[in-house]
Amino acid sequence: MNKYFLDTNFFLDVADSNRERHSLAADCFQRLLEQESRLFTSSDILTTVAYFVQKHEDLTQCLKVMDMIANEVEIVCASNSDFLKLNLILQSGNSKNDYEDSLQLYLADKSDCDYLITSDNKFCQHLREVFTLKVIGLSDV
Amino acid sequence: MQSLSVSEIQRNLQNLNDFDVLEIVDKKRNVVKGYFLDGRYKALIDELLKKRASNRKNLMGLIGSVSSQQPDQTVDQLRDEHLSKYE
Repeated sequence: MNKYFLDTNFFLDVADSNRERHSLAADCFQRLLEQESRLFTSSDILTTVAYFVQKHEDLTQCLKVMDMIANEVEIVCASNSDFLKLNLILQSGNSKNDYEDSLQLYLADKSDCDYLITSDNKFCQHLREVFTLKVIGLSDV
Repeated sequence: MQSLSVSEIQRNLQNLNDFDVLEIVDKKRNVVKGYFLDGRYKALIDELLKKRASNRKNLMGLIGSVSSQQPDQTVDQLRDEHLSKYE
């Protein structure tokens, strides 16, 4: 059973029927659910997703969406030691690494995920080799 | 609760003759790998699996749950907008 870590743009593409990549993301999401893969994300990502849903819908819909996610997707949070370990990794790496994205990649790896799914082709491109998990796009599932 | 490693179970299968709940651990990594429950908990497990299947089915509802007016907004723009609440 593969473990997949879902990035912010993946959730937005799946949820928002008006986004360009919606169909692709919806197909990908259905495949993941059919495969009975284990799904992961982080609390930081869900904060942005909740903001997005409430902005375009209302609190009732936001609660419904967050219920769906929290009942099935495993939510990872960073501890003090996670931040300190990530800092060490980034200190010796490329100065163009984005801290926020790097933290997501770190948390995905910490959760023993096999893949991180994102629509951002440049996601942590200077940091990927540090971790064993693979960063993949929507059509790679 | 009794904690055992996989190798401890392999070495002494009698551990599986009389137990209630066993915690299966990876002692090298100090990680809990899972739990082994006595067969009398089958009904509970079935209920759990049913609930899980239902949760998974519900998650399909995420697809198309939002109809935005700004479909071109990037995640970075959304984050900036979100963070501007704290300015």
